[in-house]
Amino acid sequence: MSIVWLKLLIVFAIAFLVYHTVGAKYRWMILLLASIGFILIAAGIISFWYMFFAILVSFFGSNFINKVENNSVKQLILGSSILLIIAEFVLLKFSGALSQLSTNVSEFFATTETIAGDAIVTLGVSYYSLILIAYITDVYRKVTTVETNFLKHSLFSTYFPQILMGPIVRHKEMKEQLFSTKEISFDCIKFGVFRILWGITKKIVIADRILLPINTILGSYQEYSGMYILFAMILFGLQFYIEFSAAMDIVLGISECFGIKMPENFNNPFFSKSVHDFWNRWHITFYSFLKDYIFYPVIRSKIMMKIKSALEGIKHKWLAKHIPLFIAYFVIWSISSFRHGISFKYFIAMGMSPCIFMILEDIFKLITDKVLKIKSLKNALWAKIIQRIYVLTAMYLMWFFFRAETVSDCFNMFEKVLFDFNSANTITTIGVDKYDFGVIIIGITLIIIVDLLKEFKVDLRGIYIRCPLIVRWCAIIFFQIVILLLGLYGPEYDPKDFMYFKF
Amino acid sequence: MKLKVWASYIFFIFTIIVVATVLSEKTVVLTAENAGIRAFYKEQQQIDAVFIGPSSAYTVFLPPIAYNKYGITSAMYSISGMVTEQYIYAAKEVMKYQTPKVLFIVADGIKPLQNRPPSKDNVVALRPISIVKPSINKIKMIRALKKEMSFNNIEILEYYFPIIRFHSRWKNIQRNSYLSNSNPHKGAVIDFEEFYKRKYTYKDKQWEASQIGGYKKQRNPNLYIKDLIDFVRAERKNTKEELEILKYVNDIEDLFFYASTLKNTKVIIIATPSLKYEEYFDRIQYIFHTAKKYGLDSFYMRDCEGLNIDSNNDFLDEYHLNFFGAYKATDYLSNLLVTEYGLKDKRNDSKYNSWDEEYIYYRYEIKRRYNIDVETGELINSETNN
Repeated sequence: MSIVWLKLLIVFAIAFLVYHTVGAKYRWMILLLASIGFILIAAGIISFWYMFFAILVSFFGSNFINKVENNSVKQLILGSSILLIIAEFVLLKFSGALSQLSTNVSEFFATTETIAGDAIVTLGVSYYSLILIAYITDVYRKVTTVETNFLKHSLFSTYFPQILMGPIVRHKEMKEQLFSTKEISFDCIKFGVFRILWGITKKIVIADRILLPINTILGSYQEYSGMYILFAMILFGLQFYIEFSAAMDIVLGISECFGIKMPENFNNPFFSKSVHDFWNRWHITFYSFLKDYIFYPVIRSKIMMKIKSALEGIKHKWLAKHIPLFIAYFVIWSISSFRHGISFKYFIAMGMSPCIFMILEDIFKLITDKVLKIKSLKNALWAKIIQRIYVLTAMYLMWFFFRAETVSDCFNMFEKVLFDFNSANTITTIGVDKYDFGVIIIGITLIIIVDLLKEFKVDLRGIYIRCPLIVRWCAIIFFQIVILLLGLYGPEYDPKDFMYFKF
Repeated sequence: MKLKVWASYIFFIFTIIVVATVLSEKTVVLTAENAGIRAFYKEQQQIDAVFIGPSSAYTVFLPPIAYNKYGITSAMYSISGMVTEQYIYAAKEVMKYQTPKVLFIVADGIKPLQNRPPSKDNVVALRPISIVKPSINKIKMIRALKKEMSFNNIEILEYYFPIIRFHSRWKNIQRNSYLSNSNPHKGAVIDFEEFYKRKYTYKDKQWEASQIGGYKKQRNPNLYIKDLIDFVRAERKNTKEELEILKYVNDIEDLFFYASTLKNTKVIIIATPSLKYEEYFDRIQYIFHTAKKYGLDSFYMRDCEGLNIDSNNDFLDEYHLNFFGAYKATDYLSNLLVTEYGLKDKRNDSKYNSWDEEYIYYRYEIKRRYNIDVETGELINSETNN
């Protein structure tokens, strides 16, 4: 966990105490001060000014939209506000990439790393940009009310827990909570603290430890047999999920300590029945943003209507329904890949892979629906297992591209997994000893148990809150011990940032 | 609600501090090299002689040998990297748990900041602090060192809670010695192979050329400080460094003033034998001169007749004795403690039976590991051994 996250926790520790000490009507101001303070100490004044620009644009944009009557003018303001925010986003995130593109296009497809701006300068840019785009659009659509107080708007835009890794919140669900003067339930604080500790444990005890064999094996995959690469890739998928969900646990836990419940970003994605279902459970707020602000507008656009009509005209109902759908998939997943970085591997991993699987699922939906309607299959365990295996295979295909340095590396790894069965290396050569491996196994088991309970709708939050005081404090002390003793942190370790932090 | 939040907050911080402190204690202190350092904590009011100083202190005196041959109970507060600012806190820490008859202050580590290797990002700086039990004295020691180490507020946390740096040792926590914290071997250094096996050969012939006392330069000891200031003025042109030299002078004065106030303990300042004596002779002379002002005894061990340190066989490196040199030095200092300072033989006192048991263990381990007979202080002839 990098120093930025430590700063987040320090800012939280200070803000928490002040927040719960001052009068209710001043609480939002404490959050605003904490957010500004966090941006300044974590990213510096330059990042602050970039953020300030986006806030100004969205504030004046939304207020103008609210005031003017003419719909064309509204659309013009909406379009220009969104364009300005996107322009800033592109400038900050892809300045390096753009300059490289202009110098050597041919190197573009072979590029080995995500080309992005300095992480410090671009702190949170892809999150606050999307949040603000969603906000202006919601004001235009009259889904939410406009914020006329600039400081309150600034707090919504810069609320510090969401800045680093989301979730991508909506104004409608945040405005009441951020400025509420109602008394905060102590249960929120109880569970918030627990969730933060659980998140830190997941990140620095489990996820960072899993990263050791992954980096050892995939860092020089040429020296390992296919079995090892497959093993590392299986771990990578788990690590990716554990780490990202850990970040969300920390962020949502912090927010809950202020009595503010932000939307969940994960809902047991490994239990998904289809790729569609997976994306409703993984990075939920991002996918929901893609659907609400890109997918549906694309589907309902005039050009799509024309295509639909044309296909209906030639009596191709299925095509008329699905071709606009597929085009919309292509658009949202292209944007998704672009957001992760200008790189061919991201185009495949975060763009085309999910897009193709979704299209295939739609194409074969008629058949699969019929198969699953057979009574004996509907509830059969093996059918459910096959569904999960299919989803995991699809997602792991995507993650192969996501993790590989280059596309050619990815294909080389595929080749090794399929054809190289020479397992000369032993367990000692994968970068972890038996103790670390034990921690990994116990950690993953624990996470699976928690996720299973959540999948079966067990109210873990309620159970924890209702626990006797002594049990709750024992749990807190247990986590403190585990984090301090087993965590990979401090000067002996290279702090690993959250993988998704750079996006 | 506010009260509840504040109470929970404070209790949360309190639990973190307690957990970090306890874990630091369990995982940090007993490293292989300094396993014997904490003996003075274990043997409350049983130790007659304590040595305070850097690594050259624990490579000059062997408590198990001193006990076996002279019945002297002794302990070390000695660890590599100990610096000037720490001495006074180390002395206070010892005096909290012991009232030794003699307290040796090994002057080798009393150096001005300019003469020290940079300690930042160096685990050496952390070790002398991490062996101190959590206390107000420890906090004062860290605060005294903070400026010298120029760490930021996050880095300084490592000094309060060494678990931050050393937590990877959790894998060893299963070993009984880590869990029980009960085996300090009466100040014996066992797991230190180089100390028992290495014989450093000094390339320079200076040692042989200079007879005992022959190297002495007759000059005013205070010139050492003047030279330091002149050097800083000429080379560095930095008033901050001048202030640091004055602080160094004050630290020494504070230490010796404190030492002079100890009523039932005789404080002796010593410098251990070194092959690079010329590097710090002026400094040691200045320290001894200051000690004299406070009525403290001092001597440089190279001057001691009868010590007979051999430059080819008795050194681990240029600044430290090896086991064979330490054996001679222990013999010499123990004899001095008995004859000059009247330390009593504890060997027939049943209160000290654990010292006899520990000596047997020490003798066994040293023979097993290094093929050395600690009774004679010599390598065991392999033929005789068979």
